[in-house]
Amino acid sequence: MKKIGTIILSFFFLISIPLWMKDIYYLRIINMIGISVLLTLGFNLLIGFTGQISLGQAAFYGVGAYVSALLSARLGIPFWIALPAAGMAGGLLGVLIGPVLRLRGHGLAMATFFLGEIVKIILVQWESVTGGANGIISVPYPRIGGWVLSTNEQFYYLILIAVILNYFVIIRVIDSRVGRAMQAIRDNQEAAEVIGIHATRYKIIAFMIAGIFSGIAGSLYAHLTAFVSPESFDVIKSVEILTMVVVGGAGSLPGSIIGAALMTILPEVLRIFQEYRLILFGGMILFILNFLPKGLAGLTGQAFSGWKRKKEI
Amino acid sequence: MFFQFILSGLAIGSLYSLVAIGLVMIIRAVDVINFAQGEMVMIGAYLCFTFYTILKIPFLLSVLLALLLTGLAGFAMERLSIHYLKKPSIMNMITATLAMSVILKDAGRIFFGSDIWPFPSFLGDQAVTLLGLRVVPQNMMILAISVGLMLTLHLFLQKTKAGLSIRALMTDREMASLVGIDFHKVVFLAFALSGILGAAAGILIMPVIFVSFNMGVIIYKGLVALVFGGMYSFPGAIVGGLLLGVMETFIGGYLSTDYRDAILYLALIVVLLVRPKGLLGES
Repeated sequence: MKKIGTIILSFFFLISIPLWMKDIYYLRIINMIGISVLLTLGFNLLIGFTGQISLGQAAFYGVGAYVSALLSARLGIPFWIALPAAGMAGGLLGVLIGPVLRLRGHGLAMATFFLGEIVKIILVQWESVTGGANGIISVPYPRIGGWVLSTNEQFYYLILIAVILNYFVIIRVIDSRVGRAMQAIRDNQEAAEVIGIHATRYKIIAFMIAGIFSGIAGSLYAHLTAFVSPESFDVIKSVEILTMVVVGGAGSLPGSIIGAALMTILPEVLRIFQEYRLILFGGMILFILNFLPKGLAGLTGQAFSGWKRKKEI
Repeated sequence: MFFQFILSGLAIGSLYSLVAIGLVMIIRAVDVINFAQGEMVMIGAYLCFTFYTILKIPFLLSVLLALLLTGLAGFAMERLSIHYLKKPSIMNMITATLAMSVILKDAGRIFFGSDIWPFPSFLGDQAVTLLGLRVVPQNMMILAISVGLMLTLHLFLQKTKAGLSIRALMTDREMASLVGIDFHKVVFLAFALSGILGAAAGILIMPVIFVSFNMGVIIYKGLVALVFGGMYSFPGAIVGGLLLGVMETFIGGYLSTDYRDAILYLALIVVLLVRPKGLLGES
């Protein structure tokens, strides 16, 4: 009962945010957090629950953003078709890299890292389609009939729906046969294979789900900022997504949200140190890896467990 | 043209080999791909450039200082990133070295600015005719010095006690610690040596691509060379680097310069899938 109460309360809280948060700057940050959450939840399924390394996350995000931007800006296809198409493109990329998922450890890290680089090179070099380094400008806003979604409030609800959907899907997956197979692979791939789990198949499913939501995140990003360029999807972005998951705590979904929020808010807070932004960013990763091995979720977990124990006494 | 391509390919490839050897050393010592190895190249080049061009220290002394200091930087990097990790999983170690790479690259940008500093060629870019073949002296020199460095490293690993302890530890960690080899000393040596190798590559490549904070991207090629060589093998890293250099020149010369790197990265993925033990190793 108490759990349901919490869910309903947080639901109403989330819905109410644009009603009292009138500052567009803050709302925009919140929207960017939402997009980051879409990126981290899927990749947490990959990293935290299936135990697979990926250093090419930005590729899925970028493919989604470009597919959506190209469809709507060049071909005039409505956002409502471009968005699922972006999700499908991301998912398809996840399936296409299937052969690579036979690899483990260092091999998989390298393969995914360079996959991201290959996508980036294509985005920069295939100028006739992608607009090269300049990217695509004036990506149109989503519209329903004559109603145009252009404000941050409107986007907020769009992103919120996507995030809730994503959270729900991931939770269902984790709790299902598929999810248990994934966790078995994470804990011991050989043992999992002995009991008949087709490891590569489940890894592909994990990459596909992560890819779909990253594609959707890319589409939302493209239409929110009305502009895409290869820079937004380079290796720093991949490190950032990876960091959000690791910082929040791999294997913890609330951790992913905390990680995404922190890694989005912090650069804004540190804007006065603009010059040293990347150094602080890297320093924070090292600090958390060294001192909080379970990520921030581990920290709150410790705090909560302490609190519970006190209550019992 | 054909011969010139091979020669310049081998020259640039020998630098990739140096980077890849540094990577092999660290993979075999602590089992992590050191993504910050490219920044050792940048640090070595910046240091040598500063000593020689700005502080007017004699060139050879500048080089020596740059090599030693970068070796120390390599060790410091290990202390600051992966040494004290609470949970040294592959994921966490890779994240830590990536973070270190981001930090060092940006520190380079802040200290030296985004400018590209030209550095005069050691021997000149003009091709000369040697035995009826057109060769660029600078390429010959890069190749010769790289090979010299590799031979020195080989002698160090084979003939000295320190080299022996590194090899022992890299072959069998438990056995090595049983016979009293100090793991921490070997880790220090491995990171210092790979820092020195990176710096050497950085100094040799200075006149070719000039000095900039972005020099560290050479790590991408080092990683390709590493995979071509099977990730764990020193001779593999050397052959992988040379092969990559030649492939790169030919692809750039005959196929496409725009997609050259994409083709090489694709080759890396194919090698990982088809010959995970490298082009030299048994499949």
